[in-house]
Amino acid sequence: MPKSAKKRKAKRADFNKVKLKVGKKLPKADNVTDTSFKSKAIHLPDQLKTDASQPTNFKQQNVKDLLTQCNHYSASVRHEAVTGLKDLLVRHPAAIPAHLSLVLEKCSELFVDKDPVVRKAAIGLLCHTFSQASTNQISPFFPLITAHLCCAMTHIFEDIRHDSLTVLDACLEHFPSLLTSRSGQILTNFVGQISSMKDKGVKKDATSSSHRLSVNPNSKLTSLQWRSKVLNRLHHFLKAMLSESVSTGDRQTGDVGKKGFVDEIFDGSRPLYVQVFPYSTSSSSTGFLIGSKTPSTASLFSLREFAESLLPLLLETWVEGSPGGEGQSLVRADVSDLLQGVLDVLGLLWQCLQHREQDKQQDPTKTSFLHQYKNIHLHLMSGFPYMVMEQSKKGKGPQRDQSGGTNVQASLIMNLSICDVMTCSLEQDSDGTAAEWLDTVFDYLVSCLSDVDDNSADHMENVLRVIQHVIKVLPKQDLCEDLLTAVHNCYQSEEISDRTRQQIVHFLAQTYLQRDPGLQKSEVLTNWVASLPHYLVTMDTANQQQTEEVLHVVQSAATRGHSCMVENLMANFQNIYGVGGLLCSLSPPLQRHLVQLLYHLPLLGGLKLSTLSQACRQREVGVPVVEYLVQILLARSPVMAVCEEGTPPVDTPRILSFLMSLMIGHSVEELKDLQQETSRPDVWVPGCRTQISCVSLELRHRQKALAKFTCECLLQFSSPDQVWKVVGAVLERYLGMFHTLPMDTLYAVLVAMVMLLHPGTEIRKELMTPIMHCCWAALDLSIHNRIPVSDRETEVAEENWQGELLHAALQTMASSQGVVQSWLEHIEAFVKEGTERCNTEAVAKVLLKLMQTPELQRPLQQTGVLQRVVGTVMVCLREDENEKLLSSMVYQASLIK
Amino acid sequence: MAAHVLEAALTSDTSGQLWSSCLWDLQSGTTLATYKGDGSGPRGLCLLGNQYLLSAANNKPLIHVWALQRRDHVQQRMVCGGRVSAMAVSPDGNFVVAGIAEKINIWQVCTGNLLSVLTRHYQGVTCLSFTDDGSHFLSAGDDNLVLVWPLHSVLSGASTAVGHSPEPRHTLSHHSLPVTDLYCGCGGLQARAASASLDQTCKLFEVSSGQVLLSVSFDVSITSVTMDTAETRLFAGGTNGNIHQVNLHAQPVQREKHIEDTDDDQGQIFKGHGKQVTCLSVSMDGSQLLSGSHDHSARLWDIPSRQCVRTFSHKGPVTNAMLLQPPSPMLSGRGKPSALLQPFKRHLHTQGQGEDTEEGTRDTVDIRLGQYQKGMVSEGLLQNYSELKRVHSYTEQKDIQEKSEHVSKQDLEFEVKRLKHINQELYQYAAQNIFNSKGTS
Repeated sequence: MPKSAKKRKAKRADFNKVKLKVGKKLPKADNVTDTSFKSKAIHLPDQLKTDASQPTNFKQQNVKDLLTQCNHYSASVRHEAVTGLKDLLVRHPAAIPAHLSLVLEKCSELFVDKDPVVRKAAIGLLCHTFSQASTNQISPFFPLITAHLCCAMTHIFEDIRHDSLTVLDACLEHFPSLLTSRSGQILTNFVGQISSMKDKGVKKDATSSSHRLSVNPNSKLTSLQWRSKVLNRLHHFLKAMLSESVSTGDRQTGDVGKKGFVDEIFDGSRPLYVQVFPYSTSSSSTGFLIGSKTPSTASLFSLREFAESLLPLLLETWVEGSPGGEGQSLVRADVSDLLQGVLDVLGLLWQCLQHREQDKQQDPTKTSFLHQYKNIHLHLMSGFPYMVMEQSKKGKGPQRDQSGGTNVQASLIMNLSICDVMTCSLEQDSDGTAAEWLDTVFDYLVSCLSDVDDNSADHMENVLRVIQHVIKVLPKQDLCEDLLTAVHNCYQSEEISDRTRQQIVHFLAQTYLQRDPGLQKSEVLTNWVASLPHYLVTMDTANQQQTEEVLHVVQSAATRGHSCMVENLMANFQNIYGVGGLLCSLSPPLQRHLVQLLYHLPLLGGLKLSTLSQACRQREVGVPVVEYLVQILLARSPVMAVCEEGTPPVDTPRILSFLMSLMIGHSVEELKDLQQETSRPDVWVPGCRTQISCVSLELRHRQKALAKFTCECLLQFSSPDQVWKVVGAVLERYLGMFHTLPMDTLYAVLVAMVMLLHPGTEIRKELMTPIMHCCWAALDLSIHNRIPVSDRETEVAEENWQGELLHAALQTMASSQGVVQSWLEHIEAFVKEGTERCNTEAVAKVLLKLMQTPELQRPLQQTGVLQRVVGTVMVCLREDENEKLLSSMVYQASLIK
Repeated sequence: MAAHVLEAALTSDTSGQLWSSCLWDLQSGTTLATYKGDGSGPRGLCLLGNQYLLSAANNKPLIHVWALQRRDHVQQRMVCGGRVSAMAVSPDGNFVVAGIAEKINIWQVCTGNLLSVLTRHYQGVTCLSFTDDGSHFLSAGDDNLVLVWPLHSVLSGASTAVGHSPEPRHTLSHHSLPVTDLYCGCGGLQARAASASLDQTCKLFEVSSGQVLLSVSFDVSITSVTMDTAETRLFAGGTNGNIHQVNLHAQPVQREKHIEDTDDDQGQIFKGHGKQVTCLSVSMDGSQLLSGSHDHSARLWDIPSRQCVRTFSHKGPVTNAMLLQPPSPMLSGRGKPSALLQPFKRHLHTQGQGEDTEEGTRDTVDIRLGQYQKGMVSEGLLQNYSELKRVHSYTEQKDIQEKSEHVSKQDLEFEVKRLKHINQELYQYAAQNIFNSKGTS
């Protein structure tokens, strides 16, 4: 069918050539899109669908979605997924354990992600997960993590390698134990990061190692900075490794560490059960420890090889960074970090090796390390002591002052580290190579000690640590003595701050306690220890730890028979043990320490003992401490000794008088004051010569315990009869002088009568009357409840105490016929005199109580005057309406008849 | 009478008025043997190899020696450099260790040589104790220290150099006042040991590692400590005469609890002594406890019920009290020690000295092989021989008997076979004849 002309024309028009002319505007094509419209994006911050069954993040994505997105080809989606995942875990911490395996797997895969943002996010996620999970939870996945970490550390891209250090930081921070157990892989990688393998073809000679430092000129960081970074991590890693192995070592060998040490207190009230060997799960450390021979990781790793390969690298690093020529000691600020890192790693490496050394006696490791030492010494000591230049401000070029001030702090740290590293080799130094540099080091250390100021406290610790190490390993006595002298001078100088002084005291104490046989003869230490009692008195007692340490030193010096120290202790006796002295201001455990020192004093005269008895009366000194003190004194007296040799430090009369004054509980002066008080005593017993003054309940309880205890002690003496004679004489004297007695003393007197009086012994006439009055006063007091009480609680306590007093008084009366007799005669006279009714009634009540007591019935009967006295009393009470009292008296009297 | 005595108590006091030391029967409280002489010092009574009894004198620098079978008077006196404050004998009886002031002397028994003097204590030595395998010994002193000494290195160290002083394996400085008693459990180096001190504590520690396992604080200074053989209980005697029991096992699970359970509520204290308890010892089976005290008595306690079963009264403070299985010479009063005891030398024995002086050359050991023993030995041998002979003849007879039995058995088997054979023939004959007869009829 022929085409229509119109169509043909139209067809042709499509192919007409459009003539464009200069200056004319180009007509718009027909199919052009009009872009003049405005549009706005629809932003969907979160999904509408909600799934309450699963934890979701703010985008309502659940874990499954996010994990699949982690593998997405687009970096931004991956990033979104990782951040989303972190958000989810922050919102739902409970979800972490459930998804731990998947999350960690994905997360560790992303360590080697090409996109830096994703890597950063992944590390953030890892950190968060680590912080939420426990070691046991992580440990099954840790091999996976370390595998990926090793991948990242050895990755071909430099920035990935850089970021791997951050991962390592996170691991080190949270799970150092897990990481160190896989040390084999990681330590090797460390070396790889700053070095490259030498060609296998190159013939290795014995001294050179298989690695050499690598330099990457293309890198953004300078290789110096990079190395410094790596060394820093390596330092942390070794530190973790060392602490791990030290702690496990402690557990195994049971060093000073108090692990597994059970402390129990036996009190008589209940049986004590102690499981000495508790069921213990063996520690789950399956990993490679420094001490163990079998590494858990597949790669056979030994610390020794690692050290061998690392040492030359460290030295090379040092050489590159250190100041140029021989004898140059100025260090540029930018390399000081690097050099410091080298030193730190060197020191730690040595410690690791040394720790390993403890297990096996002959270890070739150290020898190889020492083999390198010649080089170390050569390089490190070339410009010692070094000066680190001030970090120059990032200002304009011309204004930089190259020769400006030195950074004192940094250079001090660096020089000290050098000293530390250098002294390591002293132990094995056999051929005297050390002598060349030893003097330099010593001079430096001494100068460090001599110019101290207020802010040197931080460094002092380091200085002292180095010195301690030197002293430990140094064979020569005189040199040690010099160092100690320097330390001691520093201690004596007045400029140093308290903190520094404490550090020095700590150092000296440690040195003394080390029991190094050589050091025991050290004159400086001996002098220092001798001055310690004085220091004790003057020191700040708020610092408990320090006080304890000093006390410990003093005590061990005393046990070693340090006569000067003991003399000084005696000189300061009053300040330490006196009223208001050191003893009263310390906490009970330290008081015990102080009391223990008494054991070692050569002679305790009457004056000292009276000081002690005064101190024992102080309320600050608790009953257990006082008891301890008494026991120690007894142990030093002839009471406990089996055989007599020489003169005992405490002789029998003195210890007796000490015990008596402890029992009485008040000094003579106090008692005298009581007598002179013109006012009526607190509790007045009518008709009785002995009057009572009130004492607080707390003090009474204390004295009660002490009175009983002293009586028990008195019973330990070899001849009870003689002891009773002494006690009786003292009581006679006291009771003859003083008629107003404090409550606690009254109780003590009665207890002494009960416990010390041998049954069958008759009391002397002179003692009988006062004792009778005491008993009467006590009975009256406790029967009539004459002590005013405020509240319910004290009332119960008061009743208890009075009950005991009553018991003691009744026992005393029961023990002696004479007391009962004289009492009955006394009250008969008293009642006949015709006192007030209420007084008679009081006497009647006491009498009734006596008659009701079974133990007293026999003595009462034997007096033969009971019926007469009862009759007399009843006559006086006859017109009274208190029939109950009367009838019970009649009844009791008839029973006894 | 004495044959049934398994365990007996050996005690001594300071006075020595009646006897220096005495062996008591636990069941009846009678004295089995007494050794006359001076009083003995604390921790100074030891048995030496089941042949001698050594006792350090209380106030003199002497060690008294009795041969176990002769109890009447002291046979030998060893003069020492000072008062012996503690003494111990190695379990094999080869070495005697004694504390004299702050020094520890080690003598070889057979030669009497002073092999070593250890000066690591700063103050007087208070107690010494061997581990049960004799490889190590522990020493404790007034300087609060407990030292663990390996015997072999102590002895070898002394012989090599004079100036070189041997080092202890462990130094325990956990006590803060003088140590008063030591007890070493069983198990050689693996043993656990307990120490008591005036600082009111008892410490239990491992001998091998020197690690303290347990520290128990009391309210009184502790002067003696011991454990039972199984090491399930620890007993600590105080200066006030109380003996405390500490259970080294966990509290037993109580399925039923009675409210009136007063048995345990008293705390586990043995009360009875009036003064400090100086020595403690537990019987083999862990049921009885012997304690000696300054109140002039030794007491025997029943451990489960904590009652005093028996009191042995003395004339002075009891210094040593131990439960032991008395060797036969002690009970029978017969027999003679096989080895002569050399007097203990006062000067350190060195190898070089041995060549110069006459007495040092004697590195030989005297052994008593007198006529006295011959008879006994041959008698014993004869007895043994006759016994052997009897056994031998018995076995021979039995052999023959068995042989005859064997033969008869064979006969019987043969007989059985024969009978079986006859039976078989009989059967076949019967079968043939009967069948045939049936067929024919």
